[in-house]
Amino acid sequence: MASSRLVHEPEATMPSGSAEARRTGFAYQARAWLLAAPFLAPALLFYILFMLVPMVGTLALGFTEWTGFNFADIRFVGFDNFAEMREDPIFWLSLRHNLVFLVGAITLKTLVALLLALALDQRIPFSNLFRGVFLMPTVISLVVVGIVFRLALSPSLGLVNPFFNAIGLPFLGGDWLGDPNRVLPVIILVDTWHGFGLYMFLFISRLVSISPELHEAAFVDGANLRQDIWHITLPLLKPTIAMVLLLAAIDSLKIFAHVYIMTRGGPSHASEVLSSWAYFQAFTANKVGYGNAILIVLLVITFILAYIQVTRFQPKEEY
Amino acid sequence: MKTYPYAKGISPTLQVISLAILLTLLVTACSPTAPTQATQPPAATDPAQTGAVQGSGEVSLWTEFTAGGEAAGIEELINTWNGMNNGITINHRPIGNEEFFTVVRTALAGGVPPDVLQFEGYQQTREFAAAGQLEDITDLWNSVKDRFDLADAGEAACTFEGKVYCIPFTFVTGWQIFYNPDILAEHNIEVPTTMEEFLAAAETLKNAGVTPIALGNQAGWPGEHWWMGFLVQRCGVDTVYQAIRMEGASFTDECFVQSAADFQNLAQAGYLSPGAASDDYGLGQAVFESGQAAFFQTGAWYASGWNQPGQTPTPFEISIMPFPRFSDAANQEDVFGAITHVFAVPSGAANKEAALSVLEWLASEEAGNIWAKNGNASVIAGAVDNSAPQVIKDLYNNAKSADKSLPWIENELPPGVGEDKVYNGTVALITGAMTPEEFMQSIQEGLEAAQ
Repeated sequence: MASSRLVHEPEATMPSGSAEARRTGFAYQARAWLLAAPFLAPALLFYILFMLVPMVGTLALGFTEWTGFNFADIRFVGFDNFAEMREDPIFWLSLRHNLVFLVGAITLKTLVALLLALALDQRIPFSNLFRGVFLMPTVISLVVVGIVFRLALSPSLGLVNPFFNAIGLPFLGGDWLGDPNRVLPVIILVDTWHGFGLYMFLFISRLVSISPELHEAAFVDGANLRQDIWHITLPLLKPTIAMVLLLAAIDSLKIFAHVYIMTRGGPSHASEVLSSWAYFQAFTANKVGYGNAILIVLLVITFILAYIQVTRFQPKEEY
Repeated sequence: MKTYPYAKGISPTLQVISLAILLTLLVTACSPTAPTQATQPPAATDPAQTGAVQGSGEVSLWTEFTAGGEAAGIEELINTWNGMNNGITINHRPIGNEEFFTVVRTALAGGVPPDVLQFEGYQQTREFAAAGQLEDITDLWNSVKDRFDLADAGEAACTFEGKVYCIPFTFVTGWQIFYNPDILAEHNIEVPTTMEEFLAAAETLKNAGVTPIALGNQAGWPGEHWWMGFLVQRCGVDTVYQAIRMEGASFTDECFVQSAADFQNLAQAGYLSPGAASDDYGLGQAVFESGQAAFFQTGAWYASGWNQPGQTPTPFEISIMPFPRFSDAANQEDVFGAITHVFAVPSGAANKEAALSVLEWLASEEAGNIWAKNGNASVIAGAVDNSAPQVIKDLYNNAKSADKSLPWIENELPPGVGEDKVYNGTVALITGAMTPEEFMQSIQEGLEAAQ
């Protein structure tokens, strides 16, 4: 490859190990950094200020007791906050909700995105239009989606129950966000509606890169559409599916805005998740340390998932 | 050894440009922060109006007054003060109620508080003062105390460990129910005067297919109001305080459980609007204002907002009745409602001297009259009678004539109890996820854990 030849050429001509070579190497590095630094600095600065510093702050505060009113009152308490979690039933309830949400949302998002991507890959009429339509929810603000669905689902003034009444299915109506048994599935559906479009596009971008010759060869060998999808398309989509599963999982663990806007974790904690419970503890109950400790648990779970994906589900071969 | 051939090709010009960009970024990042506001020269002073005014310059004021009579009132107060040209200018920042506490706390912890801060007293006073974030204004309070109605209640809202940290400003009563007279007339229902009559009216309306009570209890506090209405008549204010202080009463006592049962009965009888557990306060209000429900309970602030310019008129004339009592209720005197707005000077205020001057003026008859004129129950003596609209006069005097008034109970409980156990509990009572006994037990356990 041309680029690797360019990289290796000077190395071959450089008198390896000599003082002159080292000086020249340092000079190259220094000049390269000088060139790169101005371009890297703005992004790096933002990353450090708004990502690393808060993350380190979260980690540190998780081991403290603090009401949040005066920095002078911060007190180191070791692992007390984590010990408190063991006795906190709402923490465990929230963790369970997070796991239900994780399984529900990634299953639905991946399935819906995959099925629609496969359908739109079949050259159906208006497929480009549908791609745009399905992507639209993704670009809408989380807060706007939450508010719109909260209003639409309201049993008092919303649109959903009158719709079911109008089509003769009144038994399907009810208090969508006020029924403890119904609220979590409803939020999962809203989150799926909001998020599947992006994953559908990831699948489509992989599908268009699969060589048509592979499909043609399969059809020449007598395969039907189902067999083509099962034996050709899906195996080639495996790396993308793995990536989508990871992204959807991280997305689901981060769930906050939909819950906060639509239900605030209610009714009576029925839709509470770790992030909303951490927010309540830190900003309402004035237990900043405990709230941060909950977020550390969430962070660890997310890292574990990312690690598993990175180490176990990397593609071994590429076509 | 790796080499970097692409670096070899960097032209001197490009290197100079890169270095210049880097230096510019460094200089920009390290330079001292530019002042956010240019220093204003002292305004022209009118000697006739300055009086005891001390200090000069700009005073930043943060409030949660963003709508209705509160927004109109604070705007007129500021315009009046700034119009005095006494060398001090108030710069107001209204912050929405939902994010107000978070913003204030961040500012206090970050050491950049406003010069004058409005908040809700009681538990917030204790929290801010315990953290050393409020200026002790006991002397100022003692010098202006005589100007106030309900001075003892106001002092209680502002006191921590024997010192006073704020001045009371508004009394908000909860002891009323707003109703739609057209709906009552249509169904031949007299305005209820007892809880028995109220429940009978609700039953009649429900049977006629009309929602009796509009409620949006997603946040928990609108339902808490209903529960408090039952609580003061079943237990009385003294007993509630005994339970809060864990001295002589417990939240698991019979009268407390009965008050929770009274509230849950409204839900189980089908008197609440269908979205009571999931609608927010605004939706509950919209159900009432659109004429879909007959009754709506909320704080007196609601009455201060409906006549403001720009407010969409309701298709009926909203009427008010006192919160009805059971004829066999143990307490026939107490009500609920409290000092809800107070003003303080944070200890980290940049312009403390001027801020104290503003605070002293806010405790004046002039300020009280302006506040009352805009539909707010000012606690400056005589202000409501002199200047408030009739509806506010009625509500205020009704509350004043009561024996005792129970403050919003979440403000007297630790926040993890008030805003978790109480708020979530009232939602759970509606959905049936909790029994009245479980609700009261959870509050008691939360209180004991917090102690």
